[in-house]
Amino acid sequence: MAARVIDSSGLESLLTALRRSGYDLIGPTVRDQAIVYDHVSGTDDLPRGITDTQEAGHYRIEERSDESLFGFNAGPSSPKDHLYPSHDELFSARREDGRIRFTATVHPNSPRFAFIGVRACELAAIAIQDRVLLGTEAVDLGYSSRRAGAFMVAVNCVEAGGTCFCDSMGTGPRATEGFDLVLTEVTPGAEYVIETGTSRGAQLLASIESLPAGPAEEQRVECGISNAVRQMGRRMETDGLQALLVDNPEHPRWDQVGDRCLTCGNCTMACPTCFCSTTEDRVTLDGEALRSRRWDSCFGLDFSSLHGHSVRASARSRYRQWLTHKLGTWHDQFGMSGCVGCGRCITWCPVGIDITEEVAAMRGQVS
Amino acid sequence: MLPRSFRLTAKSQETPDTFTLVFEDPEHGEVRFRPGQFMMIYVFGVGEVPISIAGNPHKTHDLILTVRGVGAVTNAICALDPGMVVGARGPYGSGWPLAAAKGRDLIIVTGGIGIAPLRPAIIETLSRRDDFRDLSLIYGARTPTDLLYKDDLLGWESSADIDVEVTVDRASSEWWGDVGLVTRLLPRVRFNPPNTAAFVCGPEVMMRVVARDLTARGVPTQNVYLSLERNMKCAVGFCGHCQFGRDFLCRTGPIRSFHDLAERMRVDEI
Amino acid sequence: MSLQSLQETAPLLTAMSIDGIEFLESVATEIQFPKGALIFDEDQTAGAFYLIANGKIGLEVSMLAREAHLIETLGPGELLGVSWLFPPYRWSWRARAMVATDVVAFDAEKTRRQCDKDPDFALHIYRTVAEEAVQRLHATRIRVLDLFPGSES
Ligand SMILES: Cc1cc2nc3c(=O)[nH]c(=O)nc-3n(C[C@H](O)[C@H](O)[C@H](O)COP(=O)(O)OP(=O)(O)OC[C@H]3O[C@@H](n4cnc5c(N)ncnc54)[C@H](O)[C@@H]3O)c2cc1C
Ligand code: SF4
Ligand code: SF4
Ligand code: FES
Repeated sequence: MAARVIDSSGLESLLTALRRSGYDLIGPTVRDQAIVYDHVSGTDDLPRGITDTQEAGHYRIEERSDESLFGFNAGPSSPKDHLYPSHDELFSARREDGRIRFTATVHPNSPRFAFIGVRACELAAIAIQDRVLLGTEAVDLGYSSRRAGAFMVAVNCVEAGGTCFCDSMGTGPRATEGFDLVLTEVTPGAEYVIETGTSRGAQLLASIESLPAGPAEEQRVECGISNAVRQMGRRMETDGLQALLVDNPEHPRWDQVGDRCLTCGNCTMACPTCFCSTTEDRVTLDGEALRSRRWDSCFGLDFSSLHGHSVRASARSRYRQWLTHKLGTWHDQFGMSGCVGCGRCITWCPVGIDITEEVAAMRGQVS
Repeated sequence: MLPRSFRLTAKSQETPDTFTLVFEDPEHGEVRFRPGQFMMIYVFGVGEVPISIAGNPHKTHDLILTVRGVGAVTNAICALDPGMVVGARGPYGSGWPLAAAKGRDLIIVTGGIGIAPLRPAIIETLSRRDDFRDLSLIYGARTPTDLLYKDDLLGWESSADIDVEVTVDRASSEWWGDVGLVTRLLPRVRFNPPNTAAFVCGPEVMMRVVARDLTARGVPTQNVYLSLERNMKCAVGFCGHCQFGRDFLCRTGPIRSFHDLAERMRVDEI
Repeated sequence: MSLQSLQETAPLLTAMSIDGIEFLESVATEIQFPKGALIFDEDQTAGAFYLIANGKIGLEVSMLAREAHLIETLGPGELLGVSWLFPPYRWSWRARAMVATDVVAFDAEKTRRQCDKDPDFALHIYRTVAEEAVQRLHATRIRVLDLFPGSES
């Protein structure tokens, strides 16, 4: 179906139609001085007229001079928080008739999420998590059921933030796959060009009022996207990056970044692709044992623990593990980079460690 | 991903902190495995840890594990009494490459609890002895008291099929075996280096010096296999804990050739 | 006596010149130690050094109030004794046959004198002893790490 145009009431109808079809709407909204993904019920909950400024170790929301609903960039949360939540139960176990009876925690009634305003980099991050968690040998059941039901309403970025570099990573700012519908806000808060990615997207679009998009609107989409490309706050040279990292485990830069890194793990929590987890076991009062999965971070000392010690004791080795994995060995493991260029790890690092700067330094391009 | 329920049927104490436990799953029966594979053992409400299968690969009705109690889960396993139940899933990993050792001399070098994953390999090689040329086992432990599988060792020692050399780090003058590092015993066993395979399992430093020594004597790096140990939470490639450079050791299996590992084994804290 | 049968396994003899072998043969004596026999003891004069043909020898350190500690064992092809080569030519440890053991003993003083006369022979002797000592040093350093878990002996 060719591109259409909807206005703000069209957008409202779209959200309503999704809600009526039983979707739980997850969209950007302002909470605690940040724009995060949370439950929304309509366009009123979206961050109208709000933007963010982002720099290394810096994030502020501010008012815009217009009514834009999507005039901001990646915030501290991402769809990962809902598709692959930080806590998830795996199974319960009970002692019965001299055996342990295990019951996988099934998620038949897990909410069907409709994500509103998902960015290209986030769609790319979801594709990465699909590769990891829906692998051939084993499947994460919780992820799989939430993922299978999810509806994606993406948004093309027409502005880029101070820590964005999706352009370098080839993941954005234009959403090219992984969505049911994609919007481009061509007139802030008023007019959206809408394109379809799937037949269910097309069906939904057909159910609301829209007008065909003309060359002028399509031109404005292109302009907006080129504008975002021009505004990329960061860039990263990816040629030969895998070998650069894997072949230089003793580069002096690791010592320098290791001296700065607090090993707080903020970067891994904020990163939409980081998937590492640990498990937790507990017994309830009525004698049932529960096992759950919890996000873990390679920055934690316990992450690499063997009996009596940790393999990666120094901050240097943990940062090196993270970066080398993300941009290097991820290719060996999953045939793709583990970084989509969203910039979250830069923005949310309390000491402003910048993945793009670290790479440039490894290349000898930063003093 | 769901464990099966196993009941402990027998338990014997190997050393002050190490037990060999025999489990069975009356409901689903056997656990078929390749020597060197491991299981994820779940203790009710406590946690789950990787443990190598230590049994006879031809007697798969019993799931046999040798566990050293070092922490929450392993201590809980060692404290089980017959009749009690655990969960187990697997087997995982790829096992020792017995095919790569076929037609060659095979040297098994192991230290400490590292002999556990090699016990099935020794049993298997002895059961098809003609597939291999000279077969030897070099086994190191801290003291004579810390030697596992003493009955097996006696049996193997009295057999002409395998040359067994046992050494410890410290001993009183009562000890009849050797004292010294495992590598010191390499000159004692028969092997023709270019046509030799080696299976090595023990502390990482030990494996490094053994691999270096073997390759210096002319054993091809491709034929020297080491079994690495890393924290493992899931065993199926989800949790990220078992990474060793580019490998998820749970997916590739912790047993890798020295050829593949040598470069990474030079990097501290990798 | 002839050292031919040992030439393949003993690093001391491989690559030694014919003259060297002839000399060693002239100062060699075969000895059989029964299980448990004391070969030498701490502080005694090191009058000979030994090449092990068969069996096993333990180096012990006396613990005075308790039974002796075994610190290292030596087997076929290995050289027993380093102290004979350096002043004050006294043994540092105790050596005992752990099983019935055949050795070849070489006269220490005559060998030292031969070293003074024949630099090539001396080089070979010192090199062999140094290589052996370095290997044992490496192995000892690894053992100092106390890699294996377990109990006290
Ligand atoms: C492939 C594989 C095979 C193994 N086979 C055996 C075996 O046959 N017998 C045996 O006794 N032990 C074996 N181990 C080691 C055993 O898994 C650990 O001793 C066990 O995980 C310790 O857990 P814990 O809760 O008792 O100790 P704690 O110290 O309480 O554990 C704390 C944390 O560290 C992790 N951890 C601690 N030590 C290790 C370790 N050595 N390896 C991996 N993770 C560790 C635990 O999973 C846990 O997350 C094997 C390990 C691996 C990776
Ligand atoms: S590594 Fe940083 S920039 Fe890359 S995807 Fe993760 S958070 Fe975004
Ligand atoms: S890089 Fe920054 S955010 Fe990541 S662990 Fe280090 S200090 Fe924390
Ligand atoms: S053990 Fe979880 S990824 Fe390997």
